[in-house]
Amino acid sequence: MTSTSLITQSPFIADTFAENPEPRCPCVLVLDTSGSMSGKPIDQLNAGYQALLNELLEDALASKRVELAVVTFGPVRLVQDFETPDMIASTDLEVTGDTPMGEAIEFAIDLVHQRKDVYRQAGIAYYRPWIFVITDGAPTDSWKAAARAVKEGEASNAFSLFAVAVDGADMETLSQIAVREPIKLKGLRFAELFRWLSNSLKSVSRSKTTERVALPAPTGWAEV
Amino acid sequence: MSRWSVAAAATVGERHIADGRPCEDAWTVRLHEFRGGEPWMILAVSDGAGTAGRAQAGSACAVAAFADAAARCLCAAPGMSEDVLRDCLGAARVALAVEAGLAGVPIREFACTLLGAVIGPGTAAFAQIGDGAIVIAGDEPGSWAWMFEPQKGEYANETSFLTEEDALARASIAVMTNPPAEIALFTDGLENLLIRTQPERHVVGQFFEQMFPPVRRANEAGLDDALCDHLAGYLATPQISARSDDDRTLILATCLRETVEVAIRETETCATA
Repeated sequence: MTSTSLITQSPFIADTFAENPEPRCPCVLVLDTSGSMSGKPIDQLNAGYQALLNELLEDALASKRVELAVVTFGPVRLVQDFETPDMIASTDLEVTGDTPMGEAIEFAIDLVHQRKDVYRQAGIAYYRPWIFVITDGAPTDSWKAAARAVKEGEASNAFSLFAVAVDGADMETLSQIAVREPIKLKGLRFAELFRWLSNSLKSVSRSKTTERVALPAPTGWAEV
Repeated sequence: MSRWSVAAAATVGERHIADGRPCEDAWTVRLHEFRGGEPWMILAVSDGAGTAGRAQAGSACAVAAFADAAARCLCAAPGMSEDVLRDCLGAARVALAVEAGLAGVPIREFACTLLGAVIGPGTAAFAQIGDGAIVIAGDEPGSWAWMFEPQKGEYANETSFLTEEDALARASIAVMTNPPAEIALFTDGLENLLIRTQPERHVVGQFFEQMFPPVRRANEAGLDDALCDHLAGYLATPQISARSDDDRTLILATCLRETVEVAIRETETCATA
């Protein structure tokens, strides 16, 4: 059951768009913070997220165009609503409970749809949103609805969802949820992963093509 | 009789430089006299698609072919209509198809947008396929309006191209009997700067109020080379490039008052077909 009350609309949104009318590139990070991530994994994930923010901040256009939202699971929590990097006060991600991946993904999809409504009402242009799922386990909830929603969303070009499997992740189930083949993370190379993500977001946020943007190859952090 | 003073420039985007690509925008300005003195002005800008392998050739070909076709039509008979304008777009598309055929590649390798204006006595005709915009001066001093909505898909990086199958059917076309006193055409590299969406959609009139005076002060009609150089330099300044790392093209055309001594820079006589 998705709790949409978690998505609060800031009353200051209109002002933000007035000050910064750049087209937006929305990206939701859906991060597994379940028990198995404790220790080194969560530390590396935190460092990687911080590095992503720093890299985006260094890029003048990306820092005004990329909007990040962060959803952790489980339980499903919105720890960061959509903000441009310059407005994000970084928080440390903490290890929590189980792995309701299905609910988390459905929540992220709703988040994206609602953000598009906000953009449309404000007359702000936007790029195709990204949903980036990082998990080291298997879903502890029912995920079939999520898989259907992902399939529909990808088919209708509503968003692009990427799944990254940390060591120990259930690749088989992930492959059924995500339309694109999940990418396996080499060890705990979150830093490289987030650097790739920042480069990719930079590319997308200034792209002007009708065809799929050619992303940099995920070398170094992905297992072939 | 209306005479026009024009400045035009295209500046390569920093993103293109970083990717090792040249400027893939193109523009053309043609000033003609037909039937012993009837002045006509043809303006066109085009932005080559990022994924098109021959974007630079595409945009250059599109503006030239459009202007050639418009000139041929005007030579044959004065005046412009929506149908004639659509034919000029069609001629540009055919030119791209020919280039593609000669090169042995699909036409989408030459994908580009196309914005055109054909202005003459008692006639102003405008056409647009894709994004970027045509802005004209309103009747009230200091008022500006864009002719057509930039053609975009749901996403900011999606637009229409002249090379698409249904491009002609989807083209925005308008013909007015009262030509505006000032016209600007620009590609989408300048769109974010010149058309704002907050609090609601509007042209940044201030920009045009600042940019047009040098063009208005020109002593003669025609395309002023020195002004073009200055404009190119301005489009490359940090305050512009901070807001856009894409190719940027701008044409500014202002109607000179008849009391100003004018000399025609370019005259064309009708060539027999």
